[in-house]
Amino acid sequence: MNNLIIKRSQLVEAQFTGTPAVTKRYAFTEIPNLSRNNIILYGFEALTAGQMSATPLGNTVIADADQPKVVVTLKDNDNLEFVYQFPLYSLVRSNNAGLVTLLEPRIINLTDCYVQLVDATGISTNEVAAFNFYYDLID
Amino acid sequence: MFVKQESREGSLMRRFEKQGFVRDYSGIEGSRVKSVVAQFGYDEAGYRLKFEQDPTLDSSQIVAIEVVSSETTSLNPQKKASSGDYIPNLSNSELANMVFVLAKNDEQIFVLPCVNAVKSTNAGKPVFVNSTDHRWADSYIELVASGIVITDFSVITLNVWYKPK
Repeated sequence: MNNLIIKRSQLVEAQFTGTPAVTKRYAFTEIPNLSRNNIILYGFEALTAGQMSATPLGNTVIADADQPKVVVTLKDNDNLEFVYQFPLYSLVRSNNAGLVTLLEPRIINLTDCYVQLVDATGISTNEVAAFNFYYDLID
Repeated sequence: MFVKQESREGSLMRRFEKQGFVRDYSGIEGSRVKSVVAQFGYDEAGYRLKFEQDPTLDSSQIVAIEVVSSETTSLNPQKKASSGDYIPNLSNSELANMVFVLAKNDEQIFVLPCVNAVKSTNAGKPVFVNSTDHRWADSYIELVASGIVITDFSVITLNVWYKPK
């Protein structure tokens, strides 16, 4: 059995601004580096407070108990939703016996990616859903 | 038409293996391992605890990282308190307030929440990495919260698996 090798990574976060609400799309904080055309994303994992209480940008990460309340959608540079409303819970490494979710390598369009709440109970304003994106540089 | 996958040749996982994105986790992490211990000089969110220069790691391929928590080994193996006893390692709940960053100059190669690199939180699986172009003295532990460690006392212990280049 295989597990992911981290070549390069980038922490990204989507902030629940305003009063947290279901159906609303919360965009990721823009990371210009990840939108370059020579970067391919090949895996990612979600982080909650049990793994990282706050991000290096100083934002509070959602609690472990809130993992089942968030879904994530990722789009590539062709605007294809190649990950659509995927449960954040399933992206937490410790929920998967230490395995990291692998993706068919592709260029990501972070600007159009977003997370959604299926239940806003217990989520506080300005908390973030945090992810570690694993990527490689291509020639 | 459904085609049964008879072998891994041509499969997505085979592609991942060829591109160096995955590794079998049933083997050992690498050919050599060393323990690195660093002591916190401040207790503030945003503080970066830089590692000491390490020519061995600078000239090696780093293949896996493990953070050693107090649940794994109660005391660190290198740094002692004034009492003469070895200083305790950090607990998982304390490690949830810091990230490990492998860097070269100002470039962050990867960022890893420390508690995610504790083997027991991953059902015993190590965190595989692959870096040949880094500077250990530019790498650091960053605190994301205050009030977690004790200044000039608390330590963090890492096991770094590496292969000579």
